[in-house]
Amino acid sequence: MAKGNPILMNGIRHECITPVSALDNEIGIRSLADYEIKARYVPDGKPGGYRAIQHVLNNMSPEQVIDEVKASGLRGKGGAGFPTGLKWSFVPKDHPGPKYLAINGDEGEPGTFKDRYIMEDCPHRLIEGAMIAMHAIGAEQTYCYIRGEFYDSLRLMDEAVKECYAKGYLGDNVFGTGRRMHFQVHTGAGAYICGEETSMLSSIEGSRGHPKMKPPFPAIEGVFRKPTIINNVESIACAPAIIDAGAGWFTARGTEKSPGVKIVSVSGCVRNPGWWEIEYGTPIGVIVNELAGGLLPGRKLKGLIPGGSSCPVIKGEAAFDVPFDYEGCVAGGSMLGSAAMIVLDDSIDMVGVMRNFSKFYAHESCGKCTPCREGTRWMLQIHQRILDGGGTMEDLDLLIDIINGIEAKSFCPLGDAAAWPVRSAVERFPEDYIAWIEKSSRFNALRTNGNGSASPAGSEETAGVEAN
Amino acid sequence: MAIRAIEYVTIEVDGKPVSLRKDKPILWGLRDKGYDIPYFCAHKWLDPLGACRMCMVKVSWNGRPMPKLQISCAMLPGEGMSVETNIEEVLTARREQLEFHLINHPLECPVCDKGGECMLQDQTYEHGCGEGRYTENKKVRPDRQMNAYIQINYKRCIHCKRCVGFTDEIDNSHLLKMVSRGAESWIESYPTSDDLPYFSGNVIDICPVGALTATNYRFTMGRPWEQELTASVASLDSTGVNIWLNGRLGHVARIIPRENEGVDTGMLDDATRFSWEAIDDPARLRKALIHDEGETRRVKLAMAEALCAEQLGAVLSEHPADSVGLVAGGNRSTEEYMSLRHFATRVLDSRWYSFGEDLAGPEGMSDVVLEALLAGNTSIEHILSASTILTIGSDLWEEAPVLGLRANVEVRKRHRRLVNLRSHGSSADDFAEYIDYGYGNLLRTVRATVNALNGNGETTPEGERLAESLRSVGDDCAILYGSEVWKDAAARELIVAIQDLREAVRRANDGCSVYTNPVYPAANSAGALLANWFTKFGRPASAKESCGGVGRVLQAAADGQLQALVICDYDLLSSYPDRALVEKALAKVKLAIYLGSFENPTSQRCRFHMPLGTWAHIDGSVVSLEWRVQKRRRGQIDSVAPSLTELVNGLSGELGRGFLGTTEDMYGQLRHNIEFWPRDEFADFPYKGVLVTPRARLSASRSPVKDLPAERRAGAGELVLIPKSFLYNDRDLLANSPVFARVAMPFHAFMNPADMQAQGISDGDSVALGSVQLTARGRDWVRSGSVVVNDFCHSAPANGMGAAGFTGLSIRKASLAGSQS
Repeated sequence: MAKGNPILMNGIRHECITPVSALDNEIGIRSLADYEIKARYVPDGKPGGYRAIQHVLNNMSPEQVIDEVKASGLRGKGGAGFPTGLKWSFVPKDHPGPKYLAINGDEGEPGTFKDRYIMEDCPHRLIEGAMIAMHAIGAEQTYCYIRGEFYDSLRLMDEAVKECYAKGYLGDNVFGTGRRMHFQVHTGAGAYICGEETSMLSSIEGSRGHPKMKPPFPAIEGVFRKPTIINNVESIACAPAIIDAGAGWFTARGTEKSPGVKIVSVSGCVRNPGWWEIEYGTPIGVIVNELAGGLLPGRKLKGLIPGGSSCPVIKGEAAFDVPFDYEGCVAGGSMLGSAAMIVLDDSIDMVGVMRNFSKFYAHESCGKCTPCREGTRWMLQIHQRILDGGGTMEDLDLLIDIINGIEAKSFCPLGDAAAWPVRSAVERFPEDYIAWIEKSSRFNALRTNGNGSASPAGSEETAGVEAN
Repeated sequence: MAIRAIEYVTIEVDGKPVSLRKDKPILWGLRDKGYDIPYFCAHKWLDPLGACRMCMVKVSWNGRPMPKLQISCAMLPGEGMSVETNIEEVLTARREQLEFHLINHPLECPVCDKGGECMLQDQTYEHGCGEGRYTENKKVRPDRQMNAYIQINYKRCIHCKRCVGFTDEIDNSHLLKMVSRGAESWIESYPTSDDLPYFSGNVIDICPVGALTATNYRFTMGRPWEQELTASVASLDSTGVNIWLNGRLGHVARIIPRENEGVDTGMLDDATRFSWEAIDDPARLRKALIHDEGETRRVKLAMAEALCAEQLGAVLSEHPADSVGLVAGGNRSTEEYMSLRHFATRVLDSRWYSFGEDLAGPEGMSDVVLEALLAGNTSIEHILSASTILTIGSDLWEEAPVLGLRANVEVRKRHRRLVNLRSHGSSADDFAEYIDYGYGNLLRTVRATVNALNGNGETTPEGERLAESLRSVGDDCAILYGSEVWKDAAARELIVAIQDLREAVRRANDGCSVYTNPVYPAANSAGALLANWFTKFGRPASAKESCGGVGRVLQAAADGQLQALVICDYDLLSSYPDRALVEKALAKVKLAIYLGSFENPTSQRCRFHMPLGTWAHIDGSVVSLEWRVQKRRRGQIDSVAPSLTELVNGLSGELGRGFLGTTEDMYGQLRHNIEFWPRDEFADFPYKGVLVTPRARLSASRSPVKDLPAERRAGAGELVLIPKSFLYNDRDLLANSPVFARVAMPFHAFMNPADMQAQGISDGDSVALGSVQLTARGRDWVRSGSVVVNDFCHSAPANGMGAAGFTGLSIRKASLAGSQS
């Protein structure tokens, strides 16, 4: 931990064993009044919300806002890490029709739980950020797309938006400046694919959540075929702090290429799972051992996924030395993703984990493109067969071949997300697969000798379904 | 938006420079140049979807390769681009994606109807890895019927979503949708109400596998490679849609589209596609019928010819000239019309002949009208590239379905304007500006529009509205006019007034190009015009000119001027607008002879009914609405019935008047005498037809008329009867195809729901229109105050519901006793 203690932008160090109970009791600057009085943009700043947006509306041109965000080096927190200020500058300035801001709150990545706490604990922070972004890109309408299962987020966001409209902070004349800013909370219907930006746009439009062809990119032709900027909840929530504390506050923290802070959500085999806001570059070991309370007694780290279920697994204790930023995680053999750290200790069977992941992706594949639709289902079937005792050594090669067919060839990143963890598991933890395969081949050999039947175990369950 | 020059760009493909169109994805350009890039989900009608991932290639820009393989179906060529289609990375990707396509596809090619013309089969052979590694359980889902014509086999589906794209982007029926998610998703069909689909059959063609097959083809008509293909032309409308007529073992196996990019781009309407069953139906006449005093005898053709000639000879010996009338429907070939013309003038010595349906109303054709019909005609390509398309009194989806569909696609995808002036709405209006003129007032509206555009004379609100939308038509404007013009009592004035409108639109838009094309009532109406007015089009060939129209012939018969009437393939009783006149004519003549393939109400009233081959049995040329001369080739099928040419030659021989000439002779006369007729030989006529520019020697002079006729309204409490031309009706080929017997043809009284409510009629009730009873159906597209009925229906003939022309009807709910009687 090179740069001091982990911090929270709200100034409150937040630890929880079970997140929901802690939320209800501890923080939660949910009402507009609380936010205006108590909320701090940065821990050492002075309290008081909705200062930043008023400053922006009164004193800053859209270009100045974009320049400030660019200078802060803020990178998109949804997974790809694309510079937010740069993204905002892509909107055609002379576009005659409406432009839109779409906030991606479809936090569906297994292992991730960060956006919901922003939406539930500090919804006004998000609304204020959205207003700053709307000012920067010249939009008058925000769609905040919230995952269908997040009932609380939806309810609390809705209440916060209503409060803002009632007080004139949103509407046709925000803060009396004559600007129009509208904020629409939109709920999904529980599809992981709608977290992919173009699918989310399709879903907002009321269509089936299928990804759209890029180009045209959403910044040119997005929702309702109008220029649209799509940002993660956390990225938008950072905007007020950058405006209030200045880009310098941000660049002073984190690393050179990944400046600022990031919420990390830690789950898996740790004593104290939860979420913390840390500076980029904090070593993973510090996050796991100091914040999350370390591994359970007597256990050793088997693998660690730094960025949610779609990132490769880093093998062994070496993961503790990886600095938690975009470049560090890539160098460590994985990705930062949405900073959803999943800790796996030596009691975990990697085949089972990958079966679960594959099941998730096979279920969530939208079915548009062939490699993802067929490949995820095939991977699931192979994992299930291995676990049912029907695995062969050829399955490992076959899995890699399937992954080669999906990776970088699917229509949208969902295919890559399904392929990467399995590739890392097969390549870095082959012993887990081999153990299952050897066990079952010994068992099958015994059984074949016993009753003369050579049918592979596991096929009885599903026999009877037509197999051509 | 006139047709623009195509821009090209040169890119490097596999190390060689290749010049490609700038506006088309490289997949199509490269495939045209012979590069075998496989694909499933892309289709030239559809926007790129990028779902199948088969067409991936390696793309570099100025030597910098893109990190991922790119789908060529969505990639436009540009300067500095180089493409690798044949490197190991690309070939591996193809193998991988093909394996994914195949894992859930059943290996039942030997029993699949698509086998032999299946894209998946071909591409697996070309690009596949040769063996399957998939040992898990395949997905299954029981088959189901998609609509009346098509069966879905879910197991074969490879989820390319072309069919979904077609119903969303092209015909806008939204008949098919994806349901559920991932590998478990499937295509679900949502047939709407009881309206028949018009273009659903196209999804059979664009399905790359055998997941969608025609119910009347699957499992029964053999394999594609057993069929003999004949390049022919569709016979139900005047678009001139190109088809393959497939024969197997002497029978028709099916009809599939034949792409002609100038006409149809491979689209085909359902009525044409599924009507092939009638051609071989047992109901088609193989022997002649003689109806004599309530008794029907079935006799051999030769004997019937002799008997018929005997009676005809008796008439001719008594009244040697102008005593026999001759009319023919609009779907025979031009050569047949020519032989009929010779028969009428040389054998019967009669001027009472007319071929094709009446275009200029009962008064008949005149030089002025003929000139107006020919003026401003252009090609379909020009019509569809016009900035504004105006239809007058024509529902394109019913009268020229493929043209209507293509026009709608142009409107949606290339932002053309479509303005429809009609007496009722239609599904073709979804993306169009629709103006209702009030049935019976078409001439009034057109003249009012002309006056409004010219800025002088009386005008009407509808005319003002239409003029308003015609004041800025863009680069060019195409005007199409159809059935409601032909059926109008003032058709002659109307056709001329449309030329005035053309002039007025041109003047209002700084002299831009304005085209006018008639949408003819039948496939070869233009050919019939040629034969009727041969002396005006070609060199004078025979002394007697046509009397000018079917109405005139019938009137002469009804007046007792004619002794005999010969009707060729024309169901006058069901489809001629004035049924009373037909009844009178048939009652008055001593001898009525019907020549046709099927029995129908008219044929049953004639003493002789000679069998005739259908369009599929006969070689001949047809002329479409764009004046494209095409050869309708005889299918590889057995026929026991003669062509019209053979029949009239036989009759002429029996009458001792000698041989009139073969089909080739007739073609030779057309080619020799008509200056603009294609120079090609009949035997090797071009497969895509020849566009000609018709020229006629006419002595027409006219001046624009500004007076508006009086407005016509129905009486109080009455509804205006609108006989509408539907694609689905009782014409011989449709009435005798078993597939259409299984579906609900649009033989209803379509009413506005508000009218129905006002009269206490609910959907499905039986209502009385004059002496005819029909089921009432509430439809929003019917204007309040009118009732729309099918103008060609045996059981409920629209021409029998009231007087000819504009009719007001008081509709009442048929009593239970009434409906039973």
